[in-house]
Amino acid sequence: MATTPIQSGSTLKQITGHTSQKRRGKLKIFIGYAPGVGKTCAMLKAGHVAQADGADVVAGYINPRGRPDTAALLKGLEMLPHHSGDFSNDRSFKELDLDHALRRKPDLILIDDMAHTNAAGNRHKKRYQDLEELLRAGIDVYTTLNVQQIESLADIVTAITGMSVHDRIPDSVFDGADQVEFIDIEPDVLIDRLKKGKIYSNQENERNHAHLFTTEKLNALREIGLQQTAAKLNRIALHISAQASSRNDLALKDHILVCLSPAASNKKVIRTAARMAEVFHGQFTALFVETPETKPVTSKNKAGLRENLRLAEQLGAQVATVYGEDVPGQIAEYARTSHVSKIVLGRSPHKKRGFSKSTVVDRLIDLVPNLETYIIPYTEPEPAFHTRTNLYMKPPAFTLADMAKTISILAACTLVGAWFNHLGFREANIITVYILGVLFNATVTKGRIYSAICSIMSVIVFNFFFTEPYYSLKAYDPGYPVTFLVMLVASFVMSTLTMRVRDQALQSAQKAYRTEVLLETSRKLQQAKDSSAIMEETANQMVKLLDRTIIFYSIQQGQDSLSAPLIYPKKGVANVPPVYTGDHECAVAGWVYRNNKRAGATTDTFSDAHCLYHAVRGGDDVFAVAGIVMDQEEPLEVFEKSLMIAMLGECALALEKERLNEQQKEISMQIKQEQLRANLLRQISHDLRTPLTSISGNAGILIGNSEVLSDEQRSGLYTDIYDDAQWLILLVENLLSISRIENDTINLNLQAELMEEVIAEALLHVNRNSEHHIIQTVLDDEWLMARMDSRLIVQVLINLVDNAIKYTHAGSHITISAYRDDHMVVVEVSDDGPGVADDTKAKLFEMFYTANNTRGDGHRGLGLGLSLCKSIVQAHGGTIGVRDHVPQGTVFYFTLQAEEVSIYE
Amino acid sequence: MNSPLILVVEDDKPIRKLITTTLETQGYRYHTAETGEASILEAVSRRPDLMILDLGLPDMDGVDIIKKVRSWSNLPIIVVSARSEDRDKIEALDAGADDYLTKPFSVEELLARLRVSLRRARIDSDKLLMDASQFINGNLKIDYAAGCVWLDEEEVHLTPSEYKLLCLLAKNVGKVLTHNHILHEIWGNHPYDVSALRVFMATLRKKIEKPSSKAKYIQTHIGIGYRMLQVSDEG
Repeated sequence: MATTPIQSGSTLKQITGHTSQKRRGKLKIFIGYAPGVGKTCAMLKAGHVAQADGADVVAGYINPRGRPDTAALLKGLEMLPHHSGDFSNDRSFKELDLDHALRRKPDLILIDDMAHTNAAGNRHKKRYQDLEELLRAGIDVYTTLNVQQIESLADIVTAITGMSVHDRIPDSVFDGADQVEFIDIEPDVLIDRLKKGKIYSNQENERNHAHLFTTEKLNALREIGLQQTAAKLNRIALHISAQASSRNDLALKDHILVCLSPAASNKKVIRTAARMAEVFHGQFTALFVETPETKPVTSKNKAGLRENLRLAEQLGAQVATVYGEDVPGQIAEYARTSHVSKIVLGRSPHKKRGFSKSTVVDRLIDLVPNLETYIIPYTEPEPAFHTRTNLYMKPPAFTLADMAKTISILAACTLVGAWFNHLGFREANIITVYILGVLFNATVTKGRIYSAICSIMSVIVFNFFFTEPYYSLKAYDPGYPVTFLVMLVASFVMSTLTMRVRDQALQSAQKAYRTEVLLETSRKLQQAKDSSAIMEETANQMVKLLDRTIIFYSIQQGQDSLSAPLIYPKKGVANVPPVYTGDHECAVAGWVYRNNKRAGATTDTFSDAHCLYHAVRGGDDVFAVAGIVMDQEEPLEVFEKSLMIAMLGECALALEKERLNEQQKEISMQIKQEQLRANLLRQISHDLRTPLTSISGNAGILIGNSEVLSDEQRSGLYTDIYDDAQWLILLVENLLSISRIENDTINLNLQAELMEEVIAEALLHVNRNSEHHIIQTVLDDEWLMARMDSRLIVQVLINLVDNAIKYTHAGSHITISAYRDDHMVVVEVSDDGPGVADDTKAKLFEMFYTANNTRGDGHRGLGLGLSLCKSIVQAHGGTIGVRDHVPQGTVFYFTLQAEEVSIYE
Repeated sequence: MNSPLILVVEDDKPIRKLITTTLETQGYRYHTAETGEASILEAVSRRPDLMILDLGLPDMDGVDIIKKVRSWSNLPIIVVSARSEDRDKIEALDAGADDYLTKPFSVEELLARLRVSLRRARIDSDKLLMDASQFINGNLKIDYAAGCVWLDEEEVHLTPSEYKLLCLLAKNVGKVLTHNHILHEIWGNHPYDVSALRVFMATLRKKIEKPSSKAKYIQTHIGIGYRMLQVSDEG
């Protein structure tokens, strides 16, 4: 067994590619009412037909049972090797090799006996789970089933045949089948076959099953089988008509509620309820009421409860758990709020409760008189479960401390009693003291046994010390027995009531804690900024709740695989053994992610793993996989589990919200960029046309008519061409800068640059019209340095200076200055021109804004310049602005991060 | 004496025409090549005095051509590129190009760069004959033997770093040196970054370029590097 995890872990990885297929395979079930009706033969024949049609058919697992006709039909079909692995403890068992089948990936696979229970060490406990995986991988499956192997029919079949069937499948699997073929044969013919030895080859087996093969029993089974098949057909028809008319009337739908208990007889109740839900096509809920009395249940009961829960889940029930002292009250409350129409409950465990003489059923009927209530009787003897006496008999723990407390309280009472006696008070006072002692004892000790001991002991001690004859257990007064009895009853009632009050307080504290944990989780999740924070919060909350080590695997977006595990160790555990995140564990987590199903310890799939894995899912998407370390520890309790699932649900919601938010943001960003781009293109194509017309027109004149033009005219045309070309160059430079900024603002080539050099460089490139303006540079510190992408800042300076040249008259003064202000460098471009009106100042930096828009084509300006400057400066983390210059003119300024350079020689 | 022979490697016809026309008006001789293969063949067979190379050729990456040519020849290479990314220019310069021009460029600029590079090539060849113990550029004189720098017959006091910087530029006069190249040549394993280099360069300039004189010895190429210009004897 020790080698199994590694082996199955490695094979798992190999099949990764197959399971991600989207198309689901079709499941066809060949159902019969008894062994030997010819299911396997029918299946094999169907397989041959499919093969003749060109399908790739393999026989996955066929048990020939030594029947010659079956073996003959196997000819011509490819047989997959059977998995015999290392579970050689049972020689006769050979298993379907699931991984091999997934790797082989045929169109159709034939597998016998879908209800078969796999030997230990396989991935799944049941063969139908293997089939599930094959179907998910897109492989069609033909399989066989006996009608008595359907879970909800188990009771009926046992009633008919007198023997219970071990291998069963949940109804949902049968219901989920795409096709069902009923293999029918006259019971007499079947008996005849048996007699001829065609069904069982060995004599022993034949004897074992001989009692089954009587005409009556076979007839009954056949009837059940036909009914099931008919019901299935009916459902298919209904499903189709429901789809056609899209009828979805919730109000008309029945909602069936079944009450769970840990008792074995509860299974029958659950199955009956499931059948009812089936018949009425209703919603099906299984409710478990947790009371202080079910809390200290023994491990056997716990196991029973878990089993029943699983059965209910398998039969398609939603499982709900409520907490409360008053079982019928809780059921009634749930039924009212969830619009339950029918309640199914067993007559077993809650027979008599406390001081109310009525049964749970009676009280429930009182509480919800208008609901149909079905009571399922049980006949088998029920092992006494959690009746009151039982609880008294089984103290949770017999501690010395509690015992000492009880004895000291009794001693104290006796001392006080002796004192009262000395003072000559009446005995009634002493009795009251003892009752007070019992009451006090009930509050300070755990477990009813101490209350019981205390009650009895106080009567005995009272008898011993304070009744005549003193210091003996005899009592002379004929009234004393009555006194003792009253005293005993009074102490019992007191202690019971006190205990109950205490239990309720404890329970409500727990409930409050649960609510608090959930509220805290949802609050923290809302505060979490990104998906990793969400996962961390969830994991921390889970550690807090379950006190177990939690392992989270997040999904790598786009890569369809799990990222490295994040480990959140429980309190007091410094380092987690690497086995919890080993290859096998990761492979199981990967399986959970791909199949969107829980797996690992305490489940039917990969039960040899150390952790229990749950998918954090929203709809069909798995956002992460949470692992709970179960090693060597008790399985999760019902309430813990439900709370954990609620938490994971919260987590999934938060993650989904996060993902949606991101998508939304991305989309709106894209839309914005698209709009900007569209505007830009429109503007550019317009603005390119004007100078291009001028260039091509002027060049055309020069080519055609250069002889007739005077030198002066010619040079005028040359200048125009040159100027327009220069203008185009500037435009292109600006556009390039825009694309750099928009593509990726992080991609700036930031370096410390000397402001002096940058300004000098910018002045080299300003418009040649600048010769009519007086431009000067003022730097208060020649070593002034700023952090920038020099190319882009040069562009900003060029735009600002060109702007100043454009909007001022010839002969104006333009001053470029830079100075240090704290940790920023401020650069100013000021002019003494006409200035900018206040209302246009705000609009200046908008895209496509040009002053005096009215001028139209005559005035060229893309209006890109200042908005580009703004985006460049902002990308540098600086600010840009405009203000009036004194006495007249405008100042454009922007800031950059200052840079210090330390130099030593 | 024959006028210099220029090899123009450019695949775009109008640009090639623009360059060749410009060269013709100035009396230069030229040959053209349209592909990388042809350019290497021409460079081998014609032995041009200078190469004007477009980085974006159809068959080869321009940087590879530079590397190939540099493996056997020291002829000046001026790179012409429409790529505005500084990275491309730096790559080409580090591969051995002397200078670069970004499209769109003006004809005057092209001619100026051409003259600078040709003069550098001539000095290089002169150096082989001349006594290399001193360097004279306009009014600037470096006495390598004494480790002294003279400007207008007046000694300039430089720090060791500044002196090394000046010598490096002087030895590569006319050639654009990238920041990284300079840093590596002077400080080896980079105790300083580019910003420190800028400060050293600025202090050096303050010392050798007096505001009174118009002479400009060091040219800044923003985002790329520095170059020492050969000041024409007459100006």
